[in-house]
Amino acid sequence: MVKLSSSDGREFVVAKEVACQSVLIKNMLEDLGEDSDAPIPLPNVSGPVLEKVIEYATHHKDDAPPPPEDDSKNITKSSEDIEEWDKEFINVDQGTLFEIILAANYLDMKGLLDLGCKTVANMIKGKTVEEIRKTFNIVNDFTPEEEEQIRKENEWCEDR
Amino acid sequence: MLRKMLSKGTAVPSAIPTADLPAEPSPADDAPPSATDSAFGVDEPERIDFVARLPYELAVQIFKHMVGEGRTLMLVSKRWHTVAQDNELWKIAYERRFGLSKTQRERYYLKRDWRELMKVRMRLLENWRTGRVTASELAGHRDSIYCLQYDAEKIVSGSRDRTIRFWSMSTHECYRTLEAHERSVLCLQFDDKFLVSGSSDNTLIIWDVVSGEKLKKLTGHTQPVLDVRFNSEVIISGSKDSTIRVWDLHTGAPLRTIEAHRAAINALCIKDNLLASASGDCTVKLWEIAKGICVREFTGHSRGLACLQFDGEAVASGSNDRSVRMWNANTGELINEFKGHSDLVRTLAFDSDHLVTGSYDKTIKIFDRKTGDLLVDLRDAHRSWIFHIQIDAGKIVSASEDRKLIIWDFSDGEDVTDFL
Amino acid sequence: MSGREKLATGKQLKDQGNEHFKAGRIKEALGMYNQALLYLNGLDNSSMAGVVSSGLIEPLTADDKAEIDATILACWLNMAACYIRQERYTKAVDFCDKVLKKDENNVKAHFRKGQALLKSNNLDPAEQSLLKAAKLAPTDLGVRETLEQVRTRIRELEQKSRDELRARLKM
Repeated sequence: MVKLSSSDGREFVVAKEVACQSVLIKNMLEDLGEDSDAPIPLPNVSGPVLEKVIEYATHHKDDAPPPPEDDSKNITKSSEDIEEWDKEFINVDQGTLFEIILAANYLDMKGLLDLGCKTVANMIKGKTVEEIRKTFNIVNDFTPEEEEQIRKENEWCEDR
Repeated sequence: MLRKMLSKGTAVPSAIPTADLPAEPSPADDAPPSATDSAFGVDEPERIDFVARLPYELAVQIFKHMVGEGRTLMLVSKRWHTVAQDNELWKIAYERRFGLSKTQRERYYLKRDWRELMKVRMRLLENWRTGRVTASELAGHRDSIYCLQYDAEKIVSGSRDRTIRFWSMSTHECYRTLEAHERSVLCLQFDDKFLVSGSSDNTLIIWDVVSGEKLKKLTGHTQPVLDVRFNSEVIISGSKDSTIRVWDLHTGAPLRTIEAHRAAINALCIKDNLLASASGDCTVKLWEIAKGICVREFTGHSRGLACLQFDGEAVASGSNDRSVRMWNANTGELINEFKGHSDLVRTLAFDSDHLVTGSYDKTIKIFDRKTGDLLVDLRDAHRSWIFHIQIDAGKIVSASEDRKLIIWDFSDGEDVTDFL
Repeated sequence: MSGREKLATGKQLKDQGNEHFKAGRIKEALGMYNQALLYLNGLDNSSMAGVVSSGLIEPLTADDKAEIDATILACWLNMAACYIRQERYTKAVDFCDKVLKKDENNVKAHFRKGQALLKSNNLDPAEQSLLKAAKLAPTDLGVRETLEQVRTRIRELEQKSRDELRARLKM
């Protein structure tokens, strides 16, 4: 068992295989060997988010390690095949999704990071420019001339 | 979890959302529901510009899932535009559109400007489509040229004059002539270590491609060797004697003889662990190299087959029936038929966009690979039968009975070394 | 803890790691570097910078962010050096690659990667890495020497394999 301590001082006790879903933690444990009982401080993730992350890691602890860099041919399709449990898990508000992505990045958890990115991608896919701006509350900072310029500059590429 | 429909009145959005303040919702009652609902009891779901607020690399990760929608993404905001222009994303787009050659995969670490590459490739495509090409002739062989292969530095050709010649790609001069076969050189292949040639004298020869030294002669076929292919372990040869033979590349030892077809085997092509063979018996067969067993057969041509190409996904064959057929290699389904030649289709090559054919009707034709339409007809350059062609994004090189090699250059001044 | 405080803690831990390394206490050095990373990783984008409003946090300046990155890179590089000492060459290469992903012109990373590859007998990739290091730092003698070592070994092996191939084909 491993003790983890979030930025707000909450402590979580988790099984080693769960903690090692995080490469950051796994590396530390590998380099240090069996050693101390002291909790591992994780100052860059808050309690509530760490809790969500642990929920994910617990469910996925028996998964095979993720394959290396996605084959670029398949990458666009892959945002569609998200397993049911993950879909439910990631069905959270944008704020929480944002924090989960940052936490996955901090803890170096490829599977969770991918899930977060795919989820955001799915929120964007198929939408028009205006619809995208509304979804994420983005202000258009282009002048009409700049927009026209960009359209012209990229006329030559077919589906890009 | 149910989604809440947003039906706010006329709330005015804040001018520019800052990093420290929660963003305000946008106005109008036709605002779409937020993509995900809040589980934590917040009344109005917060909206976050993920692409602006996540670190650059993570924003790129998100865009990797939407490479086909780049033009929309670029117009959302300045930050989105910056991320959408990332070189990684352009590389993925390029690979999806055109595929990557082996050298392009290896040289990737040199960090090409993939947007530029995409642009140049599109311009090249235009040149192909409109037939904007310059032709250069290479003379020197004293008889028909049956086969050729080229890379960035050189062209290697085999002829009825029994010699193999090496030509510099930059100066077009012949700098080496190899003589060892007792009759016509019908086929050849080289890589960075070896050159293997097959001849009417029924033998194959393994050469050191760097020094030109003859290393070993392989005997066994009882008739001319019509095509040869090799990979890192074995050499595979096809002959008029209807057999396919497999030889160890490093020792030259014969490993297997397959009674493969009911007539001459005119063409071979290797991709990974599979071999495709095309025969005078009108069929194409697909073989598992390690076991030597046939896993699929492609029929439909009405006369013998002279040439083929197989890339793992598609297989195309050219025939004495004057047409080319292209099949889905995995399902066996016919994808397309290419018609237009008035005589035997003796040689062919295809890439992501084009199918190029060379015929006994003395012309080279460029077809749109997807629609089957004839795009360009290159005639009146070779004076006789076309025996072999090879293509890449910027050119076609052809070999003919008229003893000439012709380089058809579509680059129109562009630097095309990155496409080989 | 504020962002600045975490940066300071991270730097301290890194410095302690350096002390251990100099004294030959490799395992302890790794312990310190790993801990430093717990504070520094993802700090420049720390969620503490407020989506769910959790009180005021002073935002980090561009200079702070640059320092964070530099300290993280230094940790990775030093960890690579530790792994080389422990003969864990694959790990050493991995960490050099992490550095290179962020800073592709990092001479030390290319050099250390070259060393690790050489020691684990991956001669061609070793040569490539050292060539890059040499290109970026043409006057560095250490790089040149190691590059020569690799090249000599490559030449020897190539000659050997050519001779063997010839011998077999002529039989």
